[in-house]
Amino acid sequence: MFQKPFLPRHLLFVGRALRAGVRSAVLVGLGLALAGCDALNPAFVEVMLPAERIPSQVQAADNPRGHVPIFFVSNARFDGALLQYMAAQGLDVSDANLRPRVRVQANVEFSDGSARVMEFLDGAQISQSATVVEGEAEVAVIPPDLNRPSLNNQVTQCDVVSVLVAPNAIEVYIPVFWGEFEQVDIQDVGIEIRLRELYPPQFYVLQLDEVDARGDTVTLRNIGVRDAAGPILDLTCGSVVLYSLEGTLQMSFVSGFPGYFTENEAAIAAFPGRFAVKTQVR
Amino acid sequence: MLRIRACLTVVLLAASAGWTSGCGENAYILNRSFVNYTQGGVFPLAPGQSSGFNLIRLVNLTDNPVQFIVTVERFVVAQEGEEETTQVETQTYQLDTFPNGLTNEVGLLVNCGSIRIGLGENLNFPQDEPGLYVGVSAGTDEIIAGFGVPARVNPLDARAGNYGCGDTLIFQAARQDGVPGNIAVKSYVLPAASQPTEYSGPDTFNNARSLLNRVGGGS
Repeated sequence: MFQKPFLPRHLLFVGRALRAGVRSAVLVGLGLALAGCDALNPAFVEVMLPAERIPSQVQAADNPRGHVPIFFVSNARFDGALLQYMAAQGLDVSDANLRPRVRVQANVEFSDGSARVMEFLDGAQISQSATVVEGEAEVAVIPPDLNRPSLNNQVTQCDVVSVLVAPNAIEVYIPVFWGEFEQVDIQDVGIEIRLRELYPPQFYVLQLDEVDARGDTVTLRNIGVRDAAGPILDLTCGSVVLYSLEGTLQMSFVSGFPGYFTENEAAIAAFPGRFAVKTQVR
Repeated sequence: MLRIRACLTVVLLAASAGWTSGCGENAYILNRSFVNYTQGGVFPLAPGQSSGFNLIRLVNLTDNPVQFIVTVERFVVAQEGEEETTQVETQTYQLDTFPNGLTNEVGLLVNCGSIRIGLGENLNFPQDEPGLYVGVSAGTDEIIAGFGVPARVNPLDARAGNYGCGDTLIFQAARQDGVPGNIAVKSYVLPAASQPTEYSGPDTFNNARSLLNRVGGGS
């Protein structure tokens, strides 16, 4: 039968005191070691210590698992004729890298079921402010998104389940006034061109081509169905997503003024140019 | 008695190990960067100097949608007549966060070379200038319209050594009673130097720089 060895009472007391001391020293040492490496979660520390006693080096924000940066870059160009017209209207087109202003919305879904919309802006901040038509001055209303700095990226925390840029979520800024014209046959005078509607500079939603059941293009609009932004699914944490808009902002001219005839359905459908979205994930 | 104490100790140790290594979203003893560091690095949490970026993280720990007004200042050389002068250019971004799950945070990558980064359109008045707008309802499609409150946190200044190229800057809004708007902001810096140099996962920010260089986009 096991018997506890007999020890004098004062030795037992010394032993207990030694054990308690060693235990405290280990705990304090561990605490100091962790605090030196920013290892302690501030939320945990705040629970354990009053705010005024938290050492500054322990304070830190909680970190996510990783990040997924999402970029949208406007790589589209202005058509040469449009650039010349803009220069004639007094717009500064001296930047050789001038790109149309583009506004895009992307839907981002996360692994916890939450979702959000992210809006991106990129491209030049130029706009015609006024024009004179038939002796009357028309003034443009400049949208706030034109004057904001480019926001060509946003960074989400992991994990991202999907990123989707909807077909109607890409808008390009048309920086000049343009018109809808009609041809009127006037007796004894001939055909006269009249301005039917004047549009101020504005963001314009790009449209996908219309296709039939077999996938053949019926109406050519701004973006081909194969050039649209596809959905990105099951992203690995730490990936980078980049969308870029390629193409040309192009306008036809009627009597030297940007616009189209109302009866020219093809020109209306294809207004204001042809674009493609390139999607890359790395 | 000794056996019972030993069993209890083992159970407590196992429970605490599970608690810390479970790595959920919040309320764990160990900080993720520490775990990441001790396990050799999986994903970068700071861009690093080689990427040429600073990451600005905006974290919303409140129960409201919050729009952060982030201003980045940098020196630019301007031509005034025949003289070149150095001026401070400011760029202000409006970034939305929501109280739901992983939408409570958003980040922004800016090129290195900034001199100050903070909240509010005018960084000289952090006590007065609205640094965030607090909305009253959450939703993915809703535009945040709320009341502005000053961040009451000084901008981080690169010249004062607050941050360097490649660091992550964090502005965290949390509920605090007794201050205007009941929201207080704290700022933190996660230095790139504190992070591992190699990662087993994707090298996020260097990949981002390389992609941007290929398509010709700035940031």
